[in-house]
Amino acid sequence: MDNIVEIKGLNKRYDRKEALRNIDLSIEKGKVVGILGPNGSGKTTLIKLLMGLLHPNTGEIRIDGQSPGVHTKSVISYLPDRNPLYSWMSVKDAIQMFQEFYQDFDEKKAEGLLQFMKLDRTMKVSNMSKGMKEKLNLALVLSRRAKVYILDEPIAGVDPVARDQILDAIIDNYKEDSAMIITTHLVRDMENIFDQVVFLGDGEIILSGEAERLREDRNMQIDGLYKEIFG
Amino acid sequence: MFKYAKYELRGTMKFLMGAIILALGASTGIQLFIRREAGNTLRYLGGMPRESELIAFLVVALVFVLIGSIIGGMVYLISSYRRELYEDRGYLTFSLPLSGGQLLGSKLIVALFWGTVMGISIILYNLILAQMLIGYNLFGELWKIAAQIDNFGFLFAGSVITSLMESAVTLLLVYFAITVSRVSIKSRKIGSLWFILFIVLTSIVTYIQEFIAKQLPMYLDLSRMEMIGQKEAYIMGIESQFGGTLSIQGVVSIPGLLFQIVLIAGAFIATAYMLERKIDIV
Repeated sequence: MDNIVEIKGLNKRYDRKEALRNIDLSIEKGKVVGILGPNGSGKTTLIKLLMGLLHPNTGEIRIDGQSPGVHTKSVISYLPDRNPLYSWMSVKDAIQMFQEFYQDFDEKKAEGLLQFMKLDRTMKVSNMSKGMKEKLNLALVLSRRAKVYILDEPIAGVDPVARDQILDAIIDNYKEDSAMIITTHLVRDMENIFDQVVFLGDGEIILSGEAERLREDRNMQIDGLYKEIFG
Repeated sequence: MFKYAKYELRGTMKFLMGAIILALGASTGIQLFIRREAGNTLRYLGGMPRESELIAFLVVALVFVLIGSIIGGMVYLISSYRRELYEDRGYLTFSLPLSGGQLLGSKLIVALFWGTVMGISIILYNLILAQMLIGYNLFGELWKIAAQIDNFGFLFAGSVITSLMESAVTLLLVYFAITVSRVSIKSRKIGSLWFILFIVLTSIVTYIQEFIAKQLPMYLDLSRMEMIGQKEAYIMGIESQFGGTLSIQGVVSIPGLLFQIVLIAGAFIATAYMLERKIDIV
């Protein structure tokens, strides 16, 4: 087993509220892992802890053998659940920034993804719709040849056409030697791309395993299982 | 570090260039007013312009423009730092492979750069404009004054360095106060209490600096490049000045200056550590 992500005994508290409790999780290279759970279940907290945007109260995180920091940020390609790009930027500026900060950024790939997403380099971030910003951020994230991709709710809040475009881009650009972690509560749209799923509820892992195996054992789709657990 | 500073510079350019243009516009207005007043005075006094009064008014008005622009610029740069910790843009900034020191260093360099650019551009513009509009050779007058001062080069370099150090101390105390507030208080509204923390910190720092300067009376006279003691400092009337600042006579307290260096290093390391290890981007 070649684990790129290892989490042991992870706990995170916001003031008095426990956001994550005793999380243990290992993710192998080449796997697409779905972190599934309703709003407030701790999905984004877990992702932000992996990214080093939050700091755990207790527990350990290792990504590519190191704790979250400068190195792990250079090997993770992260799509947050909101638009992080600076409002003064154009598409061209955003590409230039990614190119300068990430050695694994592939400009040709970015060009192809921008064409696919129908985005112009001269467009200003401040003039874009929510869906366009989502597509631009995804294009930037997928243009990297990163060791780990982390996509936080990549299809939430976008129209069905943009949703299909985003899903196609994820499937087409997934690399077998990388790991991909995707959080979502829109399970039906995404379940076919997951190798492994983790059901997160109230800050705890309720169930996890290989997606195919869970389907066989429970004799239902992951979406059905999600409804059974959280319904 | 300079990679990020480049983006910080580009992000702040629009507002700060606007502030500089506004300040230059205000300067032009003031000088045009003085030019008109100079004409009136000439008529009123029958050929005897009250030049010194007008020049004094010009200097006071321009000092206000300069201070106003720099304060406006600094408030904007400080709010830009705060936005990193409280707004969505922090998701990008804190995802970049940058250490806390690199991030803080970039912010500090850009803030000092803009302060310097604003100061120099407003002063130079006004000197040139005064010569063109009023016919008063401020350059020449300043040059005459400079030529009379011994070791003017040392004095000038000393005043630039101490000004930069004082600006760095102030900015780092602001960044430190904002970061401590963010780490300890999650609410943005209550997080505005950083300003009170900054005032308290500044008071403590000023007190310590003055205390050290008084307890260890060792001064450097930049105009002579000589160390002077308590007695001479007392005669020159600089004994009660704040420790790290350059007095009007070109004398600086050595222990005060050393304290300032330690303070800059300490505030930088502590803030950089909190940015890297303690800040939660919620």
